[in-house]
Amino acid sequence: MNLDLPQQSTALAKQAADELGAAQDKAELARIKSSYLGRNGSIAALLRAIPGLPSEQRRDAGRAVNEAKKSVEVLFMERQEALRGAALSRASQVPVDPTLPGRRDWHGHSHPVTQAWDEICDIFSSMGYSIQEGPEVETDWHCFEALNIPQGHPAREMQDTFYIEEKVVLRTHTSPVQVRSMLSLDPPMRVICPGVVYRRDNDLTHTPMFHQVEGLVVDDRVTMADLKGTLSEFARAFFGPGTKVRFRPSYFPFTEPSAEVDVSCVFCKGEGAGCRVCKDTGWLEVLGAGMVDPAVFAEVGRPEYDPDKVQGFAFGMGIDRLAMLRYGIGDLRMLFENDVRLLEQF
Amino acid sequence: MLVPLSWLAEMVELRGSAEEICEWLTRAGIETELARDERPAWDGVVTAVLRRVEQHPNAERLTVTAPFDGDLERSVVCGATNHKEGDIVALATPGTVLPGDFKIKKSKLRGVRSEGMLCSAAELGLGGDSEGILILDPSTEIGLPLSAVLDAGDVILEVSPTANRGDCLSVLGLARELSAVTGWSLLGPAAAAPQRPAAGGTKQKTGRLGGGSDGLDVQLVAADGCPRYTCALVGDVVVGPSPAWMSERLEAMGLRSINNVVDCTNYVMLELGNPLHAFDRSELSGDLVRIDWAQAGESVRTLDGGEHALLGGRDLCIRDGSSIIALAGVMGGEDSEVKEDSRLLFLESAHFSPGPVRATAHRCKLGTESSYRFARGVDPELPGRALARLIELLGQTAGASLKGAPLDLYPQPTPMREVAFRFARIDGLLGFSLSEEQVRELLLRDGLTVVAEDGPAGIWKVAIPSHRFDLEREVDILEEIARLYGYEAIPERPPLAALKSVPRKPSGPDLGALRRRMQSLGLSECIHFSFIDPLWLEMLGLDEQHPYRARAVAVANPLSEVGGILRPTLLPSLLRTAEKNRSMGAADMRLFELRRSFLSREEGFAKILEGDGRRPLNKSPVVERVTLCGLLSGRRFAPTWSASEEPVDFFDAKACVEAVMEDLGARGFDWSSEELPPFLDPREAVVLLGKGKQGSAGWLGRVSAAVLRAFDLDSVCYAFELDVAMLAGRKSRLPRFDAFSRFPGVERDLAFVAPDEVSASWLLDNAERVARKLQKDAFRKVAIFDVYRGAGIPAGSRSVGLRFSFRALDRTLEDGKVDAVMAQVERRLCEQPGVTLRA
Repeated sequence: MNLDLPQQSTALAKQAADELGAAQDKAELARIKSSYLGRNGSIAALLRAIPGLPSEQRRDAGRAVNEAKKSVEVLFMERQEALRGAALSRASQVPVDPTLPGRRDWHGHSHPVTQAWDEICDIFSSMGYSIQEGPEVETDWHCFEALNIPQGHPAREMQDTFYIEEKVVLRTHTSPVQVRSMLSLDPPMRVICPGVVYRRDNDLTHTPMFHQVEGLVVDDRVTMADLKGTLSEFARAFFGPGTKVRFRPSYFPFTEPSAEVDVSCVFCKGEGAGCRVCKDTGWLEVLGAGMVDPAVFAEVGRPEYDPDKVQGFAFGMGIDRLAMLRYGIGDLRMLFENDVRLLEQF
Repeated sequence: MLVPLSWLAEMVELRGSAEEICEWLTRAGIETELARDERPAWDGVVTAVLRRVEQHPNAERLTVTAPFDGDLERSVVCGATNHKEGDIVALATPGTVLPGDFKIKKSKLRGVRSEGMLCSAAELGLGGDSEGILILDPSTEIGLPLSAVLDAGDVILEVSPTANRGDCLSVLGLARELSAVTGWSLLGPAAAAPQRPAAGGTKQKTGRLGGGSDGLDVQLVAADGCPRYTCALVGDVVVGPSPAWMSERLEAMGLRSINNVVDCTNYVMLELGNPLHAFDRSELSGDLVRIDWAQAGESVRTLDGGEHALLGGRDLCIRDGSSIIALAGVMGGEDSEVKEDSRLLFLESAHFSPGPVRATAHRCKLGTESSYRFARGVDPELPGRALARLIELLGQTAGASLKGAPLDLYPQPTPMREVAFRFARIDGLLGFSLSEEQVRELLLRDGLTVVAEDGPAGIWKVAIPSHRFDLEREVDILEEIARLYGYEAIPERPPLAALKSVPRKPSGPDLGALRRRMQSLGLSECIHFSFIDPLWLEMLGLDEQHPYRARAVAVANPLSEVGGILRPTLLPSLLRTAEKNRSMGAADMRLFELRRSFLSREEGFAKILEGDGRRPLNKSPVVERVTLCGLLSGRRFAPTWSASEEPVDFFDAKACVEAVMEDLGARGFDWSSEELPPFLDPREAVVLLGKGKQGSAGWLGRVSAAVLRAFDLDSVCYAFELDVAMLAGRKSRLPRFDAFSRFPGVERDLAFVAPDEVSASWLLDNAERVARKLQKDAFRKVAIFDVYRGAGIPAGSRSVGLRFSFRALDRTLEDGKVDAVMAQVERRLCEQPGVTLRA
């Protein structure tokens, strides 16, 4: 064994310095550290050799080995710091032009009709309505008979119907969901029925398929004043705080009294003159509503819906038209053309 | 219905402008607007007296006049010759714009000041010749607007009563309604008291009309379809053109003038509301008129030339001794039509029930003025009055004279109806209260007579006039009260109800979350019509036996331009949209649609329709599946300054499907390459099979080249379609916390070279099985971290790198144990022929 420990220590320190200087990551650094400073490392080996030395040499050797150990420790710390700093600062050769746009991934859009649909449902949900859905292909009974529209009723002409066969139709409104709700839920109830509906109509302002939301409230006391209050609340939530609501008498077989409901024009703010959207009237016809006709309760035929004990109101609105008004889309047909230039705007 | 205001003015005292009338009626629920305003523009034209008429000093043919309008004397040069001092004329003052955009200005004519113009009839838009100015009646007051003294043009209202208000489909009916709404008094024929039931009628079903050889037996067999049949014979008729006043009114209301007889029937219908028909008596055989249902197999030729096969017992007919002469309430037959030489007429003024008329008109596609009215209901007490009016007008316009007495068969007169209502229901249903006095006044205006009243807490009874056949129940009376009082009086009040929590979403999978997931993956939502052309399914390469075709739901009365079936798959709609967008220049397509698809039930509708006998089952008549379809085409990455241009592939589409399955909590599904749909390229396609479930829950893959060509698409498309309900986990599972370890873990990588026939999932599944078996508590997962083809790997094989993670909850793992697991994994996988550990 070479007993020149001070010399060996210096050489070891130098070798460690070279290795540490070349180390490029934490793991390598840790490996080098343990090979020198570990329990079985080279410096420990030198220290173990000291007791074997002549006593006069022990002191110098001990000092030399300790110096070497210290120097390796310092070099290790320095190198560790340097590597950590380099990793964190990530100095790049390429200058960054901060005016370049960020790197973005694809992002999809939801259809404006879906957005209006969700918004309407959210508003009514917040008023305590639950959401009900039903089939789009309906029986004649659910779609018409139960709603006081018997065969031969002129109201059937109001909604030109697609038939699958004599007694099976594409629903012309989401009112059958109201019927289904009354068959399965007990009063007091508040439901909202959004859905796809179909009418045999295809021109500039009609599409054979469109979307409706209907609402139904049944208990033992709601009145037409409650209906007006509800729709006012909705109109303000959907179109903005200043929106007003106007009721006009109308006729639907399943409600009586019935009303056409106008809201103050969202474009001219009800001014009217010169407004193309409301044709100078200041009002937009967007809803139908009324008090549930007792004949509908009778047709449901459940004791919970005894026409002498319950009363209710119902309303319906076209989602597509509301979406058009809300987003300023002028042409109904565009909603179903799925041009990505339209979809990407929403 | 078009209504001239001048006609309305004969029946109700109009105390407002045309605009106000529209407003009043519309507010009461009878939508009314100005269809045409034929009143000429006369603003600035006033009546004036000519104080002087002198020869123009510089022009032989002109005069200088001094019209005085009571306020101002002007100097006006005039080229006419028919005027003299003292005449009352129409003076257009400077600034007036006459019909034809003719502006009147101050000017000088041959050196003489002219401050206006004396108008001719033609210049005022009144027609006639323009020779000479209009000279008004000498008694005309001066200084009045011309429109106040001369009634030249009319205003035509367009009235659209709701389907329950058939009583408003006449001038008389509209006048009554306007009076009810406004309180304006009724005039002339409208002011006459309503007829009493069965006044003048006979309770017989048969009778003899007229006498001698012209007489007829009238037999009302089908009194259920025709509660009342009133008729008369008139002779000495001279068929010819109608007088101008009559044809003008008919034309103003949108009816063509035909001859005086037909025009008279139409005129009375428009005036009073009861459709009428005139038959040529000489064409009726067998001296018999019978009102009866058609026999099976019969047909009729109507006077529009149409031939209609009739349904036995369903179509109501008027017949003579040998054949059908009219479809009751719809249209007359061709043979008995009134012709130029008709002399003796059989006049019909009947009351037909709405149902049969509507059904026949609808089925025979014969929507006539008559069927429109009968289908909506006509006053049952009107026929007698309408017949009398018809006879009167035929006398005036065609020289007709009544032959014998009219016959009025009315076997079961409609009784006068009384309706009771609880006064308290006004507040109870409408939400506002009225005084007894207010209610009494509203009912009176509406023609409803209060026959019993019992204070604000009691029950009231009203008698309903025969023309308000729509009022039958308490709620009808409440509606009348609300309508006439005005809906604007209804207060706005938020409903009061118990505060209870309700589910915010319909039960079932959260479709909103799926949409958001699709958006986050960069797909935009489409909404297509549910209709498609069945040809599109053929274009997808589906044969006739495929369920999509065999069980497609067909629409019985489709619109040809949107297609005749309800789509069983959303794919063709997305392909079509992709093509349209491509043709508009869009390069990348990332679309999805979340809608229902439709298939008919294998067992058909019958059971559902039959239900419990009273009503159908509360079940969906066809299978409606909430379906998610997606389509990807173009670049994988959104185009930016640094993105690569590589195209989308199978795994981009698969990522969408995996994300959806994860969101839905789908469990127990496997990918399979068996029974792939024909529209996918089998080299890059899979279907999703559920364990123990019938049919597939979806598919995923590259759309085949043939289908792309069929849909005119020029770019590679990947698509997927999923049955959302089938994939969705039974219950919405709450996330469950899984404890993790504080001890260090171990990761090991192994790469295998495997032939292409050995699937990655086989390697993964077997590696997992071995690892889990040997280190049950410490094995966490194994994943594929690399797939490599190329140098060093034989052709037909690829290297698949698996990364294993181990970590025990309670200890630091020993390398040796993990090594042993890896050795076992290696041994197991390399048992598979062709699989080796990559060196």
